Amino acid sequence: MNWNFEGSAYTLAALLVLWLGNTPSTAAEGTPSEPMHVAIEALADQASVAPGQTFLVALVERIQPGWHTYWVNPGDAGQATKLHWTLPSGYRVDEVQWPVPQVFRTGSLVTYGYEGEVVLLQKVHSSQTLPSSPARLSVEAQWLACRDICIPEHGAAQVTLRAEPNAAHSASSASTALFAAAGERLPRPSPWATSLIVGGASVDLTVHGIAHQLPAAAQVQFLPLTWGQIDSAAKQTLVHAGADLRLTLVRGDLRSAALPGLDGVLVLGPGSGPLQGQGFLLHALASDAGAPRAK
Amino acid sequence: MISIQMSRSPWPIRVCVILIAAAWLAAAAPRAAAVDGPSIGKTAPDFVGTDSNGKTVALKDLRGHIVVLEWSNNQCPFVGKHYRSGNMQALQKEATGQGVIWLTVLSSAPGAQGNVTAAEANELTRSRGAAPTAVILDPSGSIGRAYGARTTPHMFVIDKSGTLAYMGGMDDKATTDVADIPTAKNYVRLALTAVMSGTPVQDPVTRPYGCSVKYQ
Repeated sequence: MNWNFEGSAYTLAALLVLWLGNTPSTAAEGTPSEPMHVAIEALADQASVAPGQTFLVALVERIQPGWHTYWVNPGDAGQATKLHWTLPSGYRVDEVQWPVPQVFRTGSLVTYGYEGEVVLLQKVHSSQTLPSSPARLSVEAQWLACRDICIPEHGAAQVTLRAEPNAAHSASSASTALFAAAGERLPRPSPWATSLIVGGASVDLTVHGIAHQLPAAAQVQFLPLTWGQIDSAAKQTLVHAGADLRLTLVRGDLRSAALPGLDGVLVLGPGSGPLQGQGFLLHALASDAGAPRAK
Repeated sequence: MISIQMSRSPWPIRVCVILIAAAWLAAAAPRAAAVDGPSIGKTAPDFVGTDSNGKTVALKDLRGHIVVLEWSNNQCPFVGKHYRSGNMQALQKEATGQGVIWLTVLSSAPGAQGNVTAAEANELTRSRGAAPTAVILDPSGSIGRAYGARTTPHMFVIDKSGTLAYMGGMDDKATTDVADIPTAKNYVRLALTAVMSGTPVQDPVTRPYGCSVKYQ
């Protein structure tokens, strides 16, 4: 009884997608039979694996023009891509390494995510004893594809590696270039110390010594890794103070709660010289005195 | 001012630089100060709206009642999760049965997803078995912006004195999967229970999850 209106909406969405030239698929809410706006592929940076190795797997999202998927902190709306790898015994997988996202502004809302192609890397570790059979690594992915409207999609992909008795024989895969490019898009560890002064409505985040490497006209944005600490859409005020850069950030919905620290990516925008386009992971601990602390 | 030296530099590079700079500046443009938005423990932003039956609804007139605000867009899959499952309707009935005023607010702009006429809004209420006290039509987005409503759903609970007691998500399972509902922690129900019993709301602010509100 409560299906009709939504059903027709999704039929319309499906027709629109067909009209846009994608593969035929249903747009049933939450359960599309196949991906519509994003095609996925699983890859590994090695063609074979030996005991006791660490290698990389990747879930590649190829996103239709005009659509995007989301970063680990989606911002004001949206939902991060979720990956669940199923591995043979003797393997374990680390967390996703999220590339530096783009910032999308829609009216008064700001979200973080990816357009075009995004590669989500994860480290996989093999144990000291492995079966001699090939290792089939499977991933189930769920993502939210949004344009002006949002469609939840999901899919599965696999990559199989030959088993090698020892690491000397393990071979790199044909995707070396893709993995190298994906590595370039990851935020780097920050070479700068930070300090953080937390106020009721805003915080002052100081990046110490960055001005030695950053022109004064550089435009810089701080993207918080978790929701609620910083208002994604609020203006970020930058002040160059000697060798330091101070960002005043408006606190987010969780402004009444204690803020012991702030994690995020500092993205260096236009005017940043050789560092332009790079992102640096900041981990700032709140301090009453605002004295520099080890990063 | 940019055009003066354009002959000295190839067009595409200039245009790209300008576009990138413009995009960057746009991305850094401020939102109407969130600090002025709703805050837990403060008086909830006042508003006067018109419901799907043409009646005026003023928040100030509702003092003495607990009020729930539910931002919605019937075509958003996150909203769909809570209506297909009957989760939203059940909470609406449970709450209004205990005297709560439940206002569903539609802030989708004309032509945007989720924008409906008053008649369509009433038909949605009927066909979905929904039980809000009223559906407020907010196509200009002014009520939505006053509350900083960002997602559908985005939920607010206001106590009898007009103080904001809860803002955030429907629950703690940020998915579009109906199967997640039975094991989810329903923050709105918990907030209502606390407000009714006069005890503090354990989680007064949570992440609202869903589609973006389709503002003008």
